[in-house]
Amino acid sequence: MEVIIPECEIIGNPSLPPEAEPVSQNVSSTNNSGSFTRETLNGSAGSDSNSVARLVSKSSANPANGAPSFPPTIQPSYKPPPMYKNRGAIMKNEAPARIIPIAALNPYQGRWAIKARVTAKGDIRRYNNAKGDGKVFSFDLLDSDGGEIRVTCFNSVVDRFYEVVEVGKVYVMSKGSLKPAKKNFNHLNNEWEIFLEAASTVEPCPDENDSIPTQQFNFRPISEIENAENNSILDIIGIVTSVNPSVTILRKNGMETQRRIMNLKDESGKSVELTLWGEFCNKEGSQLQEALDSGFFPVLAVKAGKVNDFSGKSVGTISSTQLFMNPNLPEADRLKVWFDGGGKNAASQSISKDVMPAFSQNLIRKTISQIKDEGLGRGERPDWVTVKATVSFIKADNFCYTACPLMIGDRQCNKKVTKVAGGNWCCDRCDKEFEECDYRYLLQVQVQDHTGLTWVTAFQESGEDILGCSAKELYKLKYEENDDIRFPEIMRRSLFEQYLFRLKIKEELYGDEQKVKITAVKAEKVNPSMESRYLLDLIGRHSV
Amino acid sequence: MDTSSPAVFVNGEILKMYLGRRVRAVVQVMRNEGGVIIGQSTDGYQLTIKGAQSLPLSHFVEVIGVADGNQSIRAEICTDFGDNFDTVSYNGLCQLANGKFKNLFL
Repeated sequence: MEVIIPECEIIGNPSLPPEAEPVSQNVSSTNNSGSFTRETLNGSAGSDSNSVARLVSKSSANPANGAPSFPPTIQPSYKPPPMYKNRGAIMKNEAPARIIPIAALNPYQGRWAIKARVTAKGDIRRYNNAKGDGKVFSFDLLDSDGGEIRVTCFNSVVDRFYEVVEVGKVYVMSKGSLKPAKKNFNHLNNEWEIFLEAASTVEPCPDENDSIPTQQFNFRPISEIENAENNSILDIIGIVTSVNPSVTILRKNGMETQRRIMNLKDESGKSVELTLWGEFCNKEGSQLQEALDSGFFPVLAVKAGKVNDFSGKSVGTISSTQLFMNPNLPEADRLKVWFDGGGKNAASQSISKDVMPAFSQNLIRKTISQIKDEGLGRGERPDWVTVKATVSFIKADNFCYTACPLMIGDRQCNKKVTKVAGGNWCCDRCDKEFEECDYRYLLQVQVQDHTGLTWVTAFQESGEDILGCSAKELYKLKYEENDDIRFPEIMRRSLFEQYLFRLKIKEELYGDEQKVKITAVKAEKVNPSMESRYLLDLIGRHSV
Repeated sequence: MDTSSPAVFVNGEILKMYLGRRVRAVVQVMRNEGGVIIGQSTDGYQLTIKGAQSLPLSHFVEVIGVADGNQSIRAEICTDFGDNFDTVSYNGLCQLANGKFKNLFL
């Protein structure tokens, strides 16, 4: 075989014979002398110095200038030798890449550039893994077409860009690598994520201010959250109607954090609980509290809140959530106008509690016989229905239980407490003893309508609705004052009243028997006017 | 109980269908004119109630009597229903009682 060209430029990344000199790694991206550079982008997003292997050969006339010398490689005979000569103009296309929409970005794009505004910037996070110590930070971009994408930087790239990138400013970015987005942490609407590397450029664009919005929202009405999937991420906007104080919560990992619950209301007629975690409690939480204390009901926009279905449906903050108080948005103005114009007093159903007020006429109405006939309560989740029925009997024995009055967060413990030697009450859950316990209703009530009768259990709220006095008062009447006149009188006068009961029906195992347990969470006296309208509507719908 | 001549539930519109018959209607008192009440029916018509004593303005009164004109009733019994009355429900009742479910009432 004959060597045709003694010295050739090296193309690609050949594995070198051991006696060869090491390749010179010239990591310059702004070399304008017409050198031919080739980048190899590594698959892992590790530190950039390892991931970029470059081979630089100068196309100068003298191949001996800094060109590595290798013994000539023998070409396989079926392949013509490469036609690249060390003369002639080989210029890299240095023209700036065209700006494309973020939505068009993909790993196979080739050269690209985007112009976008930073909508969120994360903190630098340090970590330690098998490769050693590292640091990372991410920021989100939004362009004029509404496309969004997350950008992540590792290690030395963090140092380059962390100070450069500011929330709210517009930048032109190019030469980052595109990889699939990590959906667990990245909730933007893009399947890709940009990883910046040593060759990446991020240029501030100071004159660009209006074509790109500062933030993009996709607000859902609160009524739609009811049907949202658990753990899904969404944006909402509403008027803050109440703010609870912060509570310290012990997390699973033993760390303490702050939690703060507030209520948001919008024009959909529903309200939802918003849970603030960690820093949000002190920062935005305090601002909202101040506003309410001064008598104002602020608008709050939530970007990237997480749906939680523990008790009804509620929304909680996550690390990438952003809260905006009284934002300058058309939706915010619309809400304010609605609220001030009467929305403030409009009835609102909370989707965040297991208990829903029976005031709305939209709830499922059943008769007592339908509970049995339709097998209500046999499914996986309890059935919630409204039944119009009359109280026909109330069991006078054991109408209440001794309850723990201590607070856990913003709710009362209410666990049954037992008396210990010494006369104090003891709660197992709170692990505390105290002198005075609370009394809470546990009424067994028989109710009837025109189709049948059944027993329901009424707890504190509905018990008070039915009997018209608190369990504590009644307990004192019966067991401390032994009032044989007033106690039976109270029980008797509660009979034969007609109520709209909000019932929770669930089949449960008692010993080895499946029994349908019915709990009355609310007992509302029938309002003749509203009931008439309900019946009129019902008649209208049912008659053919 | 005398069921020989049941009073038909009427509003302004339905009243004219029962001229000469015994009717009952709830009207809201608009004017008192010496033995005559001018009232507004539950569907917005102005009815004249003859032979009725004066009742407080804007109270609702149930009139049972004989329909003696397209828009007047000769009252036999007047009952003051107070000032809190759901006219929408009553109007719905009048329509049902004279429509689909007439046989339940007459």
